[in-house]
Amino acid sequence: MTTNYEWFMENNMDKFSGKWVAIDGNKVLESDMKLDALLKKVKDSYPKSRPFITKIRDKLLRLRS
Amino acid sequence: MTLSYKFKKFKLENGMYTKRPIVDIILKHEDKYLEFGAILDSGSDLTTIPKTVADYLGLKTENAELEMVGYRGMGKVRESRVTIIFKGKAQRQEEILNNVPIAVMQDPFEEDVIIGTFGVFEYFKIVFNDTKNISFTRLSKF
Repeated sequence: MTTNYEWFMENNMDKFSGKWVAIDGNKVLESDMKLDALLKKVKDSYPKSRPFITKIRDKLLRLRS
Repeated sequence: MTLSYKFKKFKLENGMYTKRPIVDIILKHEDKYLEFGAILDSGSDLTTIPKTVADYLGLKTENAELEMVGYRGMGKVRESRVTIIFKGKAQRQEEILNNVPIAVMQDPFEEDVIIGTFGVFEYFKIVFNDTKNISFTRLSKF
C-alpha cells in the first residue's frame, strides 16, 4: 500500500508550484496559496480525511545574514 | 529502527529544479494533529512552523517575541513545544519525540514547516546519502 508521502514523492507536482497541497488516497484533494485556506477547504469538503500536507515551494530557500 | 526518507525535485519559478530532503511527520498537541511533508534543515537551529499550524493545534506560545533569521530576513517568532512523530511506511514504524522546542513564525508570509536541529538531531543518527535518501536511526541511549 502506498502512503501519502510515497505518492507525493513519486509524482510530479509542478502544476501546484507555489501552493500548499493536501494529499490523501493517491490524489491531491485540495490546493491553495494560503495554508489556512487549504485547511478550511479540506475541513469543509473532506471532513473525515487526515491528509498529508506540504508546500510546493517554487522559490529558492536560503538563509540571510 | 531506521526510517528512510527521500529528496524530492521541485521546479523553481525560473524554470530550474532543486532537490530538497522531505520527511514525513505528524505535529501533535493533545487530540489535534496534522501530517506534513517537512523540509529537513541541518542548518536551522530550531524547528519552525507557521502561526496557522500553531493556532490549529491549539499550541500555547510564549508571550515574548524573539527574532530569528529566516528565509525572508529577520522575522519574529514565539517559542512553543510540540510532539513530532516521524512516520515510516507502516503504522508501527514511527519515532516519537515529545515536547520538542519549536519556533512559531509570526509573519503570515513565512509559511514553511522546517525540521531544525535542536531537540531532534541529538536523538538520531541522520545520514544524508548523496541526494537520494535520508536515514533516521534512533540512538540507543534514548
